[in-house]
Amino acid sequence: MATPASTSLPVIHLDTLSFVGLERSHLRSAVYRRVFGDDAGPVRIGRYSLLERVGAGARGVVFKAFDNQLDRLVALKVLSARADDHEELLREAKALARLSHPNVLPVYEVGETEDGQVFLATEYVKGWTLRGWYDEETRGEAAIVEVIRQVARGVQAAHDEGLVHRDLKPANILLGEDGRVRVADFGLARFDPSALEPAADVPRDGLATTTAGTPGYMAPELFRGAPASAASDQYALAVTLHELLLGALPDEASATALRRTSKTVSSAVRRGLAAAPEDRFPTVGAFADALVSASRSSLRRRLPWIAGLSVLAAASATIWITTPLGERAADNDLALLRAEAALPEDPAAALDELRKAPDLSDERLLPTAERALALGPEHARHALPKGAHDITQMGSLLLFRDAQDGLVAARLTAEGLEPLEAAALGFVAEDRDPNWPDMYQIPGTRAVLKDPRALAAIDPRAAHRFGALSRKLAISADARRVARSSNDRYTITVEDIATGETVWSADRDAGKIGAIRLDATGDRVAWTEGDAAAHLFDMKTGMMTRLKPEASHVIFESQADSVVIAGRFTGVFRADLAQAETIRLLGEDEGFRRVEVSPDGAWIAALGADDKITITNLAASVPRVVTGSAFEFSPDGKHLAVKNGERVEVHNVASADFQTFTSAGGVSMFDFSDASTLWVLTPDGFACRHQLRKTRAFAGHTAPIKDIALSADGGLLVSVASDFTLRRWDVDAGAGRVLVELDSDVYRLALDEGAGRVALTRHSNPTMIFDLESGAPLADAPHSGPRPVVGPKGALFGAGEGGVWRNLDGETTVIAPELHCYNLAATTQWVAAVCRGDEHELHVWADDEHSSIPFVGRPVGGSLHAWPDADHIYALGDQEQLVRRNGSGELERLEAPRMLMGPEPYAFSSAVSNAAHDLVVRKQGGIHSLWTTDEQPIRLFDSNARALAISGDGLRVAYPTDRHKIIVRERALSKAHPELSAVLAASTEAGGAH
Amino acid sequence: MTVAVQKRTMTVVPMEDDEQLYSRWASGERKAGETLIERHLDTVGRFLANKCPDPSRLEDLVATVFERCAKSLGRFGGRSSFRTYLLGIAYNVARDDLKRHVRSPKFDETLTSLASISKSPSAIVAVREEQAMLLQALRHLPFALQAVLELHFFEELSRAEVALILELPEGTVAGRLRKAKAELRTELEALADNPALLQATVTDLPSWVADLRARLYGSAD
Repeated sequence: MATPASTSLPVIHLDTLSFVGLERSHLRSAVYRRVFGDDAGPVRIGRYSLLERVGAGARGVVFKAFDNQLDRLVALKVLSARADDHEELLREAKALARLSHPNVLPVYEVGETEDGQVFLATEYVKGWTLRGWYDEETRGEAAIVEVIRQVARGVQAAHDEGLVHRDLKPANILLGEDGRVRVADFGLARFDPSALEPAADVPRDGLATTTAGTPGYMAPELFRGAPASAASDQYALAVTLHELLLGALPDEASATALRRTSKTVSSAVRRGLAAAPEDRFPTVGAFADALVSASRSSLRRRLPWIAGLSVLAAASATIWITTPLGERAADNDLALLRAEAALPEDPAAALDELRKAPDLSDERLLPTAERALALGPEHARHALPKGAHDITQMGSLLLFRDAQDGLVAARLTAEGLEPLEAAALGFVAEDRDPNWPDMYQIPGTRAVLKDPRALAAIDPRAAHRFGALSRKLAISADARRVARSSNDRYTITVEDIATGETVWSADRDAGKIGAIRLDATGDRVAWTEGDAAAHLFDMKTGMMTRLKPEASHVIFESQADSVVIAGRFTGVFRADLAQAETIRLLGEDEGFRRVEVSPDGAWIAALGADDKITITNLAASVPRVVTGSAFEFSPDGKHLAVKNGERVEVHNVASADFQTFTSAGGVSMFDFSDASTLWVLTPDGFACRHQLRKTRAFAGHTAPIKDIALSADGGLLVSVASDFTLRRWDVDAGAGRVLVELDSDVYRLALDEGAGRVALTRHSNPTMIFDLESGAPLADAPHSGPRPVVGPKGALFGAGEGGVWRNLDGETTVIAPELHCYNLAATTQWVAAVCRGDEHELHVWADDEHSSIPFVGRPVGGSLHAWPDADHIYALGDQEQLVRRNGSGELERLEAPRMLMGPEPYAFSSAVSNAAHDLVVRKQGGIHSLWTTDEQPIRLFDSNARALAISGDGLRVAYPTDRHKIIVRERALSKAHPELSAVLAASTEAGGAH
Repeated sequence: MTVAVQKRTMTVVPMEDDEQLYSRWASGERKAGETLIERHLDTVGRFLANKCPDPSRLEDLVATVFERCAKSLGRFGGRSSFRTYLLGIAYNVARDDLKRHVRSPKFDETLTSLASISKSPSAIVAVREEQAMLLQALRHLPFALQAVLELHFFEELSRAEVALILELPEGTVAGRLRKAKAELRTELEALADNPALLQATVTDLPSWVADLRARLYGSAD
């Protein structure tokens, strides 16, 4: 460095940024493998093979490793502690290894590497750190409290053994996918190299040299040099709970902020955070107990409310008497936590978890159940017969062997598995019938297909897919022709499936025939030879073409006169057959293991090294990479299903949108049976049916869309664009028409369903009002400004530089001519506007009353909303705020709930639905999320949409795309409690049985 | 005097310079290749560790750098030092990887920062909290600026060397360096304005930031 640092200041030791010990060996071996082609296998430490480096922290590096002796995965933490601390470290770690508690991360072994690094082998937990769990999604209080109680149980068990954690914080607490918490890193904080280093002759802020931990979580006495204790662990745990509940570490504002939580929780947190250790709970266990009574009291408080729900109250009455209260509350917490963990990946599993809750009258379950229902893609699980194996799925057709090795065929339907006669399909059960070519073997099974004709008769798609899977055989998409190579793979033959006639046949001697493809109608066949040369024969013209460059795959594009060629080492090319032109689509020196063109011929997907799948548009050639190890296109080519670990993600090929489907038990195979139904087969023999959420696109506008609106029931959509047209669309019918041809560009629109009219605002021009049915012009209203709203008495309100105007029964009145207003919101009781006087102000008019309050910060166009409860006004701006209109018409500013305080100050588009239990859609970090009033964001879509509409029932969301289309997305289900009650009532029957 | 500025220490006195080793490797001597890899593993690893979106990608990226070097053995013409040449490859590898990784909006090295791509912390084992803080702040800079700053500070390369690595004119590098320092200052100040975040990560930030600022201003000639 050019300038020496002042000697009294800490200095960054850049030379410690190096790779040592095990981490270095692991890195070196990765390099050698690639550079020299060494295959020495993974780096070993004792009985462990290092698999991959999963993380790094102040205390060392964590590897995923395999225990060769016990055949299991472990997490191997290699500590970066200094050599002279080993003995004590080993002693401490061994004490920890003796501790066995479900909520403490088990340490299997403590040891030293050859070069003296200490390592810990622990359970490998699939899940999150608490930090990750919390960052992923905002969590409800009940789930958080349950997690903290589990942490407390683990910590208490350690305290009972005389072990102090010293560094409790969200990053050191693991939450498994099984819903169980494990506390990690007991006592290790002391061995931080940074903590052990004699820090300073002059203590910094009196920080004692032996102190360790993370400052934000450290109890005040530690800063004074007191040793770490059970009480300081309790303090850290209280900080953690505070952070999870409120999103921030405790500070001066905590007292106020804690009011948002239930009373018992906030008082427990306060006591845990007491400055003097003796003012805290006597033990961490007592702290946990205080949280249990918290869940109890919140339950009691809500009893009257619950009684109002007659169905639920009656159903739960019996359980109420038979189960002790505390136990029931605790189990409810657990059920809720597990359900939350399952959401949003697997709504069905979340519902299953909720069904296990003993007290179904618990109000806290409702929001989660509702979300599971609302979010849930239609999801069904059908068990394959026990012992089913050698399973293959081809479209809607399922083939497997049963426990007796008999070959079974079944069709996958919405109701379940419909058995088919295997013999009728032309299957033989023997492994190798010499009479039948081996290319007829069903991939993944030992079954052999006698004749593709039988398969084609059942399901052309299954036949086509069978060809794609087998790779030595191709069946055209219309199941008209089959192309196959001979057993010795030197002869290629194309046959007509219906007649069995040979259409064309040729002997090739350049090399064994590799992949074969037929185009959609079976008129052209392409194949590779010797894994390199690709040829194409057109049976209509009799022309043979040799394709360049050398390739190992050839795929036809159905709609275009071109083929896609892929080489294992050369990348992916598109060869235009008419002009004999070849362009590179993907990969400079990258190979791809599998390449497919979508059935509509518009997209290409290529699986490369490292489980990266590239999706690209053949026309525009804009590649996008997603992670996954296998993929399938939907039959309409609009979606690509990708296996990513234990999940299947269905990507919309044309946008960054995707939906995730988890099938309990994992994924062994998946395919679409139709454009919106995805089947996933699990390794343990289940067929899971997932329904894609419906998305409709409305095309017609020819210029950027300015504004859109949805009716309350989501059935009617109106839009206006810079192509000077106002259009109305029937969402369910998927059609629309031009309602009005305009003579100028417009700005915003308002749908007044009650009066059957639409209002359009224009820059510095009167607002235009049209009949919603005929498009006939109705009276113009004065000046234009923000989007008009429908307010008290069904009147239409607009605003602008000349104040707020009201149009009632065709008559217009200007309310506040002196105000320049540019944001409106209304309910049936009042209308609110953001206006500019000297400062920004929020004005509210209700009947004859008029009140105002300063508006904090700068407002953003179109982002003032009436909250569904009709008393609150919600504004998005560079500072979000919630204002309440109280009974006497006065305005008061409320502390905004956490959901409203996102990191992105400007939400360019937002919408609030009218349904009482819902929701605001807002944009944050490029992602539009649906925020329910219980503070749970649900990711909806990524988009830059500047306009956004939501139906009154909150079930449909509409937004325009860059290409002048309007997308209407649907949440799969149900606003209403009837269905919830049904689900819970069904669960009650199950619950009552045990 | 409490904590000394620890000078970078060269523990191995090379018997043979990199360029000699390189030509021996190019002529097929594996041992020479191994020595070169050993010598530059830290440099490449350190450079990439703070540039991968996810810590588990590090090994793969480091291996890719040496693999590319090995594939084009003989092509390095000695126009720069071998280390500079290797860092040039590393820069491209990191950038290409991010291009593949980032879906939308499109990755732009002069605009996109790692922090905007991934929440994961740096893959570097930062022994001290202050280091972690600095690494995190660096990840908030646009990729190209982050690289310039790290090459200059961590690897102590001259502007001319950085210019060779990035294949840019030296003037542009000087400009980027100035811009990078300014942006890093802003980042650190932003962090300092968020006491809760700071509290959790850094023990003694105000004095540390002051120190770092002194360096940034001090060397911003």
